[in-house]
Amino acid sequence: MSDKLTVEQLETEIKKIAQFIAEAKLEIVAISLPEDKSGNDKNLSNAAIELTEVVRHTEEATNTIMDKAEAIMLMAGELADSNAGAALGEHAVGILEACSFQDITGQRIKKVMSTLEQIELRVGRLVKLLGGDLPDSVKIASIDTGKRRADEDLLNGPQLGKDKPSQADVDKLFSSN
Amino acid sequence: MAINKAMPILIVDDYKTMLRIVRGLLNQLGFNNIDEATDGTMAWDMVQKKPYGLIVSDWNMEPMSGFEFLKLVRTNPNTKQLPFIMVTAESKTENIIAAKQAGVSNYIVKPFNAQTLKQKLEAVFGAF
Repeated sequence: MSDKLTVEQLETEIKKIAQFIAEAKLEIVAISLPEDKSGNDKNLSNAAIELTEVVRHTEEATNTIMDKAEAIMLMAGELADSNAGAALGEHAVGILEACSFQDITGQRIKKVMSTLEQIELRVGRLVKLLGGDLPDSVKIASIDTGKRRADEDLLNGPQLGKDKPSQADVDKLFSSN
Repeated sequence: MAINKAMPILIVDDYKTMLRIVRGLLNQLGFNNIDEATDGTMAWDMVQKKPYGLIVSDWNMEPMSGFEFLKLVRTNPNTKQLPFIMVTAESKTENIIAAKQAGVSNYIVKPFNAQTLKQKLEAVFGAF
């Protein structure tokens, strides 16, 4: 039996590939569309908007918590019982310190948003390459692969738990030659 | 170097929450003469106009990062001796080495507490 394809077999294979590309195109366009079948916004752009709202709400909540902590710190200094005042002040400082979570989570969310943005840009370009149409609301900007800052390679954001060094690790490295 | 608690301190961070936390912790340690900037460009402008005694800066900010700001501070004859503490979530070995080579006075990893801030201030200025 010959390994060579007949014209009919070749035609069938080409049709299968064409069908696969057509289906892939529909799937990719669906990712970029502003609404799903139920009318809900579930595209990538909307995910970024939702994350921006998360950052905004946590910032507001953090400010409220810090308002209260600062008020407690003031009250602690005015207490007649100086020991109780000092203890109360210490707890209030602890609350203030813990509020730095907003910075760390904000930086992590920013990284996720940047990844989503890159995915959206690449999907959009893929749709265009496949000859698909996108709604006007979906923007396709050019993908920026150039470095923007001299220290770009050093900007990694917060480390994950297992990789994150302690302050003692940092101190040891900082004091070494 | 003896510490003067009345010295002007510049704190730099693009997160208002962090500015408020650092200010609060410095206040607790007795420092009340504090100015704020939200990126390196703004901070560099302020440093050229006022003789600060200490800079406490984040790294990751735009348009000018804390690292670029540090390098500017260290290359200017008027500011090259100015104590500069980096407070950042960037904690990779290469970050710490790069900051040290650029002349940072000390390095604090976020999240941090008042005790760590006090220790680093004492490492720069001596016990207080």
